[in-house]
Amino acid sequence: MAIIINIDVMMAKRKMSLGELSERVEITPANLSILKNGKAKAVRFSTLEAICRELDCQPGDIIEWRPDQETDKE
Amino acid sequence: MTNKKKVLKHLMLIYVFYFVVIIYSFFSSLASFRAGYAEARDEQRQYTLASEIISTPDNLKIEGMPEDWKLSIDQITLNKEIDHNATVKSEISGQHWLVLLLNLWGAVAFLAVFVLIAVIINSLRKAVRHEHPLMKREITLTRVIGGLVIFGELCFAYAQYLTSREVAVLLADTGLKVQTAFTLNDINIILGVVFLYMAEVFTIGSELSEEQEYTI
Repeated sequence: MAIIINIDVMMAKRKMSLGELSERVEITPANLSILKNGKAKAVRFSTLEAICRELDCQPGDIIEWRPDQETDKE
Repeated sequence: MTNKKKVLKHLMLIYVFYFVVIIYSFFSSLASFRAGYAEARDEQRQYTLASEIISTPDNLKIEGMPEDWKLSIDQITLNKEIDHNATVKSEISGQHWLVLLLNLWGAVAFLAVFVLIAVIINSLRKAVRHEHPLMKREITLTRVIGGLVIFGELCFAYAQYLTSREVAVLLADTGLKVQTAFTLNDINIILGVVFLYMAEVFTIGSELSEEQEYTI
């Protein structure tokens, strides 16, 4: 998928563990792990809002677009 | 799932109704099975041909029939007693083995459909109870059911086509016109298409459900 979620970097900067963030954002650690590992198909705005609020960052700090390898070759 | 109990109740009703129909069909066919078994035990082998009649001569009558009534025949069955030791090729047209094979394939296909429908209904009940979408296996089985229904119908239709051609030859001088066109039972074909369509609906539901599951 071309959209990458870079939660690890912000979590490291804020010195927050996955469990702690999941508790604050009110989603399960399993779901947060799915988000972190790039397996999520969609993110709700409410979830994104909660993550940005707890990590004190902008959506652009944790969401990145990387072109797929096929488009690179073109 | 908010209406889980209601959906489970509907599926249970469908499941029970399905088995009632199967059991009723089985018992209602026992009489003809007994007659066929008795015939076989009598060591009288018969070669039977059945076909549809599309045109009857105007002057066809049965003795004792009222004069102001006209007789027309829609279906005809011809029976011939054959030697007990006759093989499928001896005394009978060379296509007979193909008719037997087609009828066997058709019967096996529809028997498999009955079993698979029960499996699918059971899987649906489990999926609703555990609140997960149908797995790829069940979706494939639904496609297989659709394919088997169409295949079974094509087998029976072709067997009937071959049989009708033979009946037409036998009745060539009688004035009865036999249906020799290749005809399909439209209901069975539509049923097959419905199952194929259901498989696609299940696929869409499964994909939407997966997307929902991976929406954080």
